[in-house]
Amino acid sequence: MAELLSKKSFYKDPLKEGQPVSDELTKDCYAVFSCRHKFCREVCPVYREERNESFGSYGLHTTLLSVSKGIEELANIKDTFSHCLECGACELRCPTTIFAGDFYKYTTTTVDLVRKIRRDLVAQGIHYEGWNEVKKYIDEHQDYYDGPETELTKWATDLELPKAGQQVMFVDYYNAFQGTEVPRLAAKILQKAGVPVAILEKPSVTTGELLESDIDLWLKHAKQNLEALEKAGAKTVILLNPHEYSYFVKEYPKHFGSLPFEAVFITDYLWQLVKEGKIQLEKDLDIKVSYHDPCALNKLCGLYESPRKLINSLPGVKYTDEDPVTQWNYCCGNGTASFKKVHPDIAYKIGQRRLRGVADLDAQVLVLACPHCKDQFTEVQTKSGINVEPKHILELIADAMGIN
Amino acid sequence: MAENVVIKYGKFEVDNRRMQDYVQQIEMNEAERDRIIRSRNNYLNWMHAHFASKILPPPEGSEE
Repeated sequence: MAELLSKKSFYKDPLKEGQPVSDELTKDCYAVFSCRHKFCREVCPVYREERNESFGSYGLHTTLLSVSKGIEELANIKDTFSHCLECGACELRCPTTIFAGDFYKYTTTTVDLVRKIRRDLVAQGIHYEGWNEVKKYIDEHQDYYDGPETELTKWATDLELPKAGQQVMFVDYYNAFQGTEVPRLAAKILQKAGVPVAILEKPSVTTGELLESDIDLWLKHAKQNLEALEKAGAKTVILLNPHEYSYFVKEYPKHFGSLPFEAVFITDYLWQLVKEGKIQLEKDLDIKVSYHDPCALNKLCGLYESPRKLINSLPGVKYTDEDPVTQWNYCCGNGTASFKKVHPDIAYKIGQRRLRGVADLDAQVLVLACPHCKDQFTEVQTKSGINVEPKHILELIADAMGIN
Repeated sequence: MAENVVIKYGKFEVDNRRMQDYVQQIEMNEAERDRIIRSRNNYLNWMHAHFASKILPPPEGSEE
């Protein structure tokens, strides 16, 4: 997939307590405030649970407008802005984006705005409720970076993956330490397909919690990632985590220009291998499934086809699809950054609603393409007892290929 | 029509003469514009699939 560049240069100017909000940012807020449709709240998974106007795109832009007009203070909006999943549904569904964005080259960019506001608040020591959990997570990832290099690739010790090559699988810290089954399955699938895939000796931090707290540090790590991938000889970089995929195709180009390699999401890459006959899906799985579009893939990047094509190719799978547009409304509840850590109760309600919907479709398995969704749905399934098993698509592909 | 329209890469785009001052265009590449166009078409197809069969004709005799 090509890089998706959408950038408002005036978002770079930091907001400071007691200082005026720029004209450009005020006009940007007015563009949403002046709308009366509020389609944004209808697709907002948080609004669906909380029924609080402040938490959707309209509410967030209006809240910032109130700061611009001197009605509200910057510090007082911190907990409003923590209530956004950063899923991208609102900015996509906004009529300004969807009906006029390509024509006027002007869109609603709520996700970028939320990240910016959170960063600007943190920079001034204004911390939203729940910040300590987020800080702990950021520090944990920084500790991984500062720690022994061998720990970063420990998940692959027995797989004998080279550290340089034309196809490089980028494994972020979440997958390297918490969700190791995803990169391990990806490596085994690619090895069986005869694809020589390498990994980085030292990937750098990519976590979304850092992106919405300290962009300078996040960009420093991003630059190191790009340099390491170039040094490794990468022509194709395979991403396993939709969050990281959205950073590579949407965020990195904003700051560094065009990528010096092709960034591909794992499902696109595997579908290509299936079409070429390099992956044989033979074992009958005999299950009833539905698929959950990860927000970072479907809403942020418009990637929804290859996972469905792969699922439809799996033998013995009875698949009930839910349209990617229907799924603009959905989320697992994790969010693409800190939401679950800050609002675990709302995250649970969102995930529970989603899982209940899948049970109503009479599906036994909910197929996922995101390790964060897998983690969240597993937790929700355990707590709620809803009889749907969350499984990553790579698990099913590996099963069908006869890989243990 | 209030706006002048140009065609770039086979797609309609506003002549941005009047977007130099009060509201300025954002930096956007063709892939992002394509994503928006594809999303719009998907959305309209979705609306049609969900609601087209539910649109009722006007009552008989109302054409008079």
